[in-house]
Amino acid sequence: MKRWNKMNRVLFVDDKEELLALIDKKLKDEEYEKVFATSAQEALKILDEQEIDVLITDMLMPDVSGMQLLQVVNEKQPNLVKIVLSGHAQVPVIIKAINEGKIYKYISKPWRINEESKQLIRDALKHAKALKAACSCINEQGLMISFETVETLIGQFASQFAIVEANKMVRFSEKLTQCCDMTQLMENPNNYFVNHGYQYIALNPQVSLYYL
Amino acid sequence: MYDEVRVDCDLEELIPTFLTNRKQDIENIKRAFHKHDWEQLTFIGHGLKGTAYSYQFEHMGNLGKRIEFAAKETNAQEIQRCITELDRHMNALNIIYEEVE
Repeated sequence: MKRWNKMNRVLFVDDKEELLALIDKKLKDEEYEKVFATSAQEALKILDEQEIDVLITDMLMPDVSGMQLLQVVNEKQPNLVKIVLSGHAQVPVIIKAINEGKIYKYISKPWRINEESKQLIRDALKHAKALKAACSCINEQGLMISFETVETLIGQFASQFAIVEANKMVRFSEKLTQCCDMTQLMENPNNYFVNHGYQYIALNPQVSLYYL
Repeated sequence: MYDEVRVDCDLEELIPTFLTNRKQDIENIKRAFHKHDWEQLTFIGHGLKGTAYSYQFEHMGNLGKRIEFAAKETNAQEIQRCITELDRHMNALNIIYEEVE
């Protein structure tokens, strides 16, 4: 049985305890629970026991690498939001993984924890919520239950959002109309959202959710 | 003559452990160098680079990077130079804690 409470949880994996201690210090004021693992094996045990929203892992670790950890996690928890920490030598592998849609973001090492990286984790947590909401909108046949349900769920954490079906706007929030050039947006919603940095989740092969 | 390093004051209580571990790294580098264990030198150099840069010890991070690359090329002279410089740098460190952001 997984331990669960309403506080968001981020799992950090690095074989160097000193780096985990540094992360703990630098993120001390962030409003989520930080969980630490010094190996892929320990990380997998934690993932079995606790509800984790975002996984941030180093790639180069002894015994079981970060990439091997991600492969196991992708099978067991495909919707877990994953961020990788790595140096430039691993970039080709990481780019491949990102392009396959399995990694949310890549952080280049050495990791300087500043406001930008704090925001990156907050965005990842928001994305984890969006994914959970999106998953709860899809039934066992892979179909959305209703657009209204999606709107209700997404509206809890994102003020700007839209549902796009076959590159046509189906539903959108009022806030979106205030912040976007709607003429440009209506012409090609998919392009507009991608070019303006909106987050994307495929609700089914035809229907996409964009939010900010 | 001191080597001044400016470090985020949030990290102050972690620095004694950091320095103890770096002294251990230097001992391990010397031991691996004595055995011409290039693989181990690459590994330690890589770790030193990552940890030192993360803790804002730029010069130490650069030395770790140089050791990592020199070990890959089995460049003994360069590693000897880095060891000498690491010893000097560790003894000359003057850490200044400051507020960041």
